[in-house]
Amino acid sequence: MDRSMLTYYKTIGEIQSCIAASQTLDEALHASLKIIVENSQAANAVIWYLDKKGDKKLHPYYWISPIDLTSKKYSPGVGVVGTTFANEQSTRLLDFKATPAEDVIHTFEGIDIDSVICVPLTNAHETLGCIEFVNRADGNLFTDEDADVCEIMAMMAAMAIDENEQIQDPWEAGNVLMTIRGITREFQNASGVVKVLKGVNLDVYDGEFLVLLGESGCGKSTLLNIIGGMDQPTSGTFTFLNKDYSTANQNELTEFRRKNIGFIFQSYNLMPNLNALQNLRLIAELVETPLDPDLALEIVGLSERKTSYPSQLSGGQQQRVSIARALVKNPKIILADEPTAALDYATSIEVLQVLEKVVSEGATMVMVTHNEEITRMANRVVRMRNGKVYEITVNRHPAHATDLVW
Amino acid sequence: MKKTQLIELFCNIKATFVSFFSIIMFVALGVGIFLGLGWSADAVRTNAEAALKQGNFEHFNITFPVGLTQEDVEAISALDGIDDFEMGFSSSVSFHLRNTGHSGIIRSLTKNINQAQVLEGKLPKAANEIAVDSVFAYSYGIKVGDTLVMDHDSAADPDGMQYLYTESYEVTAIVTHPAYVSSDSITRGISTTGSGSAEFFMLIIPEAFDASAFGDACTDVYVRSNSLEGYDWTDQTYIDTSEKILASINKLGSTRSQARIEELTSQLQSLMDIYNPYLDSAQKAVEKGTSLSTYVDLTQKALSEVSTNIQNAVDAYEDGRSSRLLSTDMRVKIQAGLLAAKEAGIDTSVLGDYSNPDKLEEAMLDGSLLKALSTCDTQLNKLAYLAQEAGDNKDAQLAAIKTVRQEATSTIDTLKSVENLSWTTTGRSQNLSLLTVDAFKQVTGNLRFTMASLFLIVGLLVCYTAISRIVREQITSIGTKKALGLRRSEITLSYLLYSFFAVLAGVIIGATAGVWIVEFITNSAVDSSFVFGQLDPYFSLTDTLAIGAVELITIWASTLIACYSVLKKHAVQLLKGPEPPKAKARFYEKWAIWQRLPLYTQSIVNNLFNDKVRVFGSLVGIAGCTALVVTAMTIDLNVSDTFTVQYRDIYHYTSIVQLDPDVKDAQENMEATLAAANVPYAPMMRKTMGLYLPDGSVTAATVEAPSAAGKPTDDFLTLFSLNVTEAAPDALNGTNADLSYEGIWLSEALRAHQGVKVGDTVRIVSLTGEQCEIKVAGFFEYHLKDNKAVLGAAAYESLFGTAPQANCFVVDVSQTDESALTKSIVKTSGYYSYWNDKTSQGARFASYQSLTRTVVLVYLALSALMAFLVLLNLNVMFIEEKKRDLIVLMINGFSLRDAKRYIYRDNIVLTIIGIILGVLLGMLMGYLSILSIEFSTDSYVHSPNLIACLAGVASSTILAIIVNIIALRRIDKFRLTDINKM
Ligand SMILES: Nc1ncnc2c1ncn2[C@@H]1O[C@H](COP(=O)(O)OP(=O)(O)OP(=O)(O)O)[C@@H](O)[C@H]1O
Ligand SMILES: [Mg+2]
Repeated sequence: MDRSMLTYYKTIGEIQSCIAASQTLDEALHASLKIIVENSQAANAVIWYLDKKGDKKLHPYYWISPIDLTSKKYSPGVGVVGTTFANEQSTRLLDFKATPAEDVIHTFEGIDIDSVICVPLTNAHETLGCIEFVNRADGNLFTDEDADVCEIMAMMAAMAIDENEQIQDPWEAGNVLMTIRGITREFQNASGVVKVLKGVNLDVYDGEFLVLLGESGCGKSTLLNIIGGMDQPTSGTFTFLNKDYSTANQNELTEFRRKNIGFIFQSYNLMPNLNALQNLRLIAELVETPLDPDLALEIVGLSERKTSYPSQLSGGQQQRVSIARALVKNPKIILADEPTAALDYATSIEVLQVLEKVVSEGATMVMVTHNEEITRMANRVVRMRNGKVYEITVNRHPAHATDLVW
Repeated sequence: MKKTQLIELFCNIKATFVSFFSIIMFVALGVGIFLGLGWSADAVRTNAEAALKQGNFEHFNITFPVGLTQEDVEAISALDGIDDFEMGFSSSVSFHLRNTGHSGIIRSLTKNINQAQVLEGKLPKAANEIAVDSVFAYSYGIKVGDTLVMDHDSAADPDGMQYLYTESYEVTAIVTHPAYVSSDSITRGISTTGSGSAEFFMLIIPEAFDASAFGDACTDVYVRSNSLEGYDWTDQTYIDTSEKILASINKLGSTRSQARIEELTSQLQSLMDIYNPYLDSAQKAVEKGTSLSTYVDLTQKALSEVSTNIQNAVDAYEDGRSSRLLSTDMRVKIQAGLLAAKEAGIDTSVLGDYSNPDKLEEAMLDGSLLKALSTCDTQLNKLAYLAQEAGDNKDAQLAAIKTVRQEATSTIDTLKSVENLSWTTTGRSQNLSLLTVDAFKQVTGNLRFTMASLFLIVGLLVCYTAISRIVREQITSIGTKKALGLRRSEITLSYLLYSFFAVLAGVIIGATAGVWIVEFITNSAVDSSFVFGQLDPYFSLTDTLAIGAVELITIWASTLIACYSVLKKHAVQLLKGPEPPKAKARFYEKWAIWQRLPLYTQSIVNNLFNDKVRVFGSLVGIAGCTALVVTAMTIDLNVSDTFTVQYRDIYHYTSIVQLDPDVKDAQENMEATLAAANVPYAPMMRKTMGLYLPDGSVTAATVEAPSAAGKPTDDFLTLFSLNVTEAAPDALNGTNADLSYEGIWLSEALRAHQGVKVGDTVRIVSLTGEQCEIKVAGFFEYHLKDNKAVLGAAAYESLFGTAPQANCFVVDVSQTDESALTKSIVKTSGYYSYWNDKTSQGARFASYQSLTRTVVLVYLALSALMAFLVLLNLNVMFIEEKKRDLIVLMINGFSLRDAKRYIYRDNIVLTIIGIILGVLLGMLMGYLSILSIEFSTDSYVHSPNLIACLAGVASSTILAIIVNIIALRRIDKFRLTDINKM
């Protein structure tokens, strides 16, 4: 038995036990794909599935990739994914450069494609979708053996779906507010150039609650600074409502921040010499159609404390004022960098409740956190690793803030 | 101190370098100004002290115009505390230099006390040699080898030159004299000649004075006391000891002067007894038809023959050629002479009854006969002079006789009336030159205290804010240290060392700058005011250490206060990091109006209320800068305004023409010249007189009186506005001074500085002895550097018995061609001197102003520097403190400009408040500063100066703008992403 076979059996075993341990279909699929990706040495892997009730198209269900595929879709029979699905036959573009496929290039815009495998996701009854693997992590091309393994693994995963209930409806993404493509950010320091962001691709949709997660130092704040217009990328593009801001000048960026972005900071950063209402009014005066500051305070539940100064408020209350301050601008996006990091559990929940309410009322929120539990509230969770988006998960059943426990 | 602590200290210094540097600067500024100005005054004082020591200057000067006798001097020298004395002469003198008369003081050279320092030439040795005041000589181009001819017979001194043997002198030396260390001619004192104020002093050998003119006494006694040796005249010990000695001299003086006056009166009386018969016989002779001249000639001839004979006889007797005094031959000759005189109509009985040879012989031997003869001769000279004037007119001759008779009796009457006339004793503290040294010390002393304390306060403020900031920034590391077991004192030490190094550097820089910059600048402005040449700089280590200690203690105190609140906390609290600023609801938020204010205003008000250090610091900086500028400019402008005001609102004349009293019809001639030139003029009597104030002190005043009521008074008042500041109600004519009121009007400084009040009685004494007491009618605005007194013609007449005799004209030449006018004035018979008073007073103000201006410039430069440092420091610190707020605002969409406005709108408010406070403070300080530099006769314009205020506003505004521009540039460099790191 050669080495690859050994890996193959091992992987299958892992997937089986993982599926067995999973509570939900989501969990099972996530876990399996992770194992598949680890063992197939694929750099990108996507589970596409057919939305039978909806638009009858193939949607990305779950993927591990620096590319934000959230709103990509295929019609059955069209493109590599569509044909794989329709033919129930895997497609092997092992040397992609020799046989390029436009639709793949389009879908994975932002990365250089060397090798692609697409295998159908078929259970006993029907074909649910397919799994697409793009590029090997070590830079080599996929081999036919790799493709075999992938096929088997897809079967295993499909079995999981078979054993559990129906796959979820696709998440209804809103309009794209912001598009980030291939963003890099380098810093010059004493010992040379440090690459912090190494090509980030992400879309932000209107009305979503997006949580950015990742280990410390991976570049979350740096990314947030760029999308907040506080910093500019070294390369890559960043467009907001179809306007490119990657090379905007300071005035344009100021204008951008003023009109579109609301900020919530870890350390509240309220003006100490102004009371709650004045803090809001100060910012409200910047925009043409602000939210009534009194109303904003009411939303965060602090109507009673209008005239209190920051030093007279608790941390949670200050953060709520800070949320109200972000709201008062009626921004297109609210950016929050670890808003609860300085708060204890109970207060964090208070604050998260407010954020939840705000999102449910239509706000778009991008929030950085270290707290895995908070991801349960999000519509999408973007995991970053080492300066890149590692995976993006769509959370089809966001939890309520009150349900969070840590 | 451990090495790591040292490293930490230097890190602290590096981190807060602007503050550290500011503390150094403020300490240096305070120390530099305080020491520099003080040392400048000390330099003047020590140079003066050295000059006094070198010249062995008197401790006291005793003068008595009617003479100090040998017994007086012995009594003085016997007094306790008097160790050395020397007698001398001094008198007023006048002479013409290129047609213009000058008056001054002529003194005798001394051997021991009051030695003159020769700058050029050699001290006089012969009676016709003279040494001249260097200041006067240099300004009028008098050189060694020049010949000066003193005026004979001047109006102010009816006795003329009779106290000098010679009129013509060769200048042998240009000298300075310890009594006259100031270069300002005003300190030369007063003179009975000319305008009444002395322009110079001159020195001749004592033998050149005719002692007999002073009744065989000297006029001055200079005394020294060992007990005062080695003390500065401003020392309390000196003052106390000096006062004791002065009291004992005055006590002696009051008895001895009375005795002297009685003696003189009786001498005069006996002279009159001799003299009157002459006058009687002269009158008889004139009435009989003999001309007065012939009579005088004959009499003098006869008398001189008699005295020659007597002299011969006495000589022969003393030579031993004759054993008997009166040979028959001689007796015959003398008696023949007396007979001849008698035949000429002379009543020889005036010489006593010498028909008895024994009596005659006795009188000859004891000299009394010769003396009587010479006295007669002297008195007859006057008559001879008048006889010549009277010519052939019999009535005129009779009038002349009457005048002589009256004059003599009036002298006796005067002498009799001078009950209180006593010695005038002046100590060093009354020496006019030394008073200018004191004045300089007082002026600089006041300025140095206000300025240095300002810098000290600002330095403390900067130190406090710097240390608070360091402590706040290091709060966690302090907490860690505490947790690690370091004691509070050990932690504090580091901050104390921080301020210690700042103070040390500041004191060193300050003391150096004090000597090399401040003192250099002030000294070079001052040294022309004194005769020492370039001033030797003064330095005192004790002063430096003392001020250094004061700086260190206060700065340490502020350091301790700054770190106390942090250091007293427990480690646990400290480890939590700095507490965020705490704003709380303020009283004003309950006001209805507050709710209606725009957020803009509300946030400014809140910012200002919550950031006291910044508000206080900025206000101190801006108000201080504004106040300094306003003060400095007020001093400068008001001093020059003072001159302007004097010649715009008070004097409406520019020049003074002094008349020669010896020329008949001088007044009429000059009036004709002036009338022809069509210039405004007024005749007046103008004399410097002694003024005895109610508190017993004596000062000099220029007494002016219109020459008569009516037109002369009206002309006088058109050219000299008496702007009354305070007056007796009945002395006013509406709001104007009523010159017919029986009282004297005095210049304002006498009220302000000498405490004279309306209704007080003052005594005025002319140098020729006339004196009287008079009520003070009121005070008038007057800004020149002398005391002025104005008397109405009627008041003058009722006081002195004679109507005021015009001795000068005041003339306004501003509307005419001055040089053409002066040419015709000089040609007019009766011209004595002419000077443009406005120009010369202007020069005096200008020279005074060169001093104040230097101080003012130093003031301005330093205030700008100070304000710049304080404000920059505060603004930079403020912006750093607000960095987080600003970044948050900019993240939220504030543009750079918005963010800057967020800072500078507060600053605008602060600047405006600061400027308003500063202008108010500056007006007050300006007022007080002007009062503080007013000395004795000074009375400057006190009103707030609009230009100074505007300059203060403008300079602070510009400064605030510059500081804001520099400080706000920091905001450009802010990185929004730093928000994650704060
Ligand atoms: N201005 C800068 N200069 C140099 N390096 C920087 C700069 N800003 C960030 N970095 C580096 O970039 C990397 C990412 O920083 P970033 O703050 O984005 O991390 P993060 O994901 O937000 O971490 P954390 O969860 O700890 O907040 C870090 O290694 C950091 O050292
Ligand atoms: Mg971060």
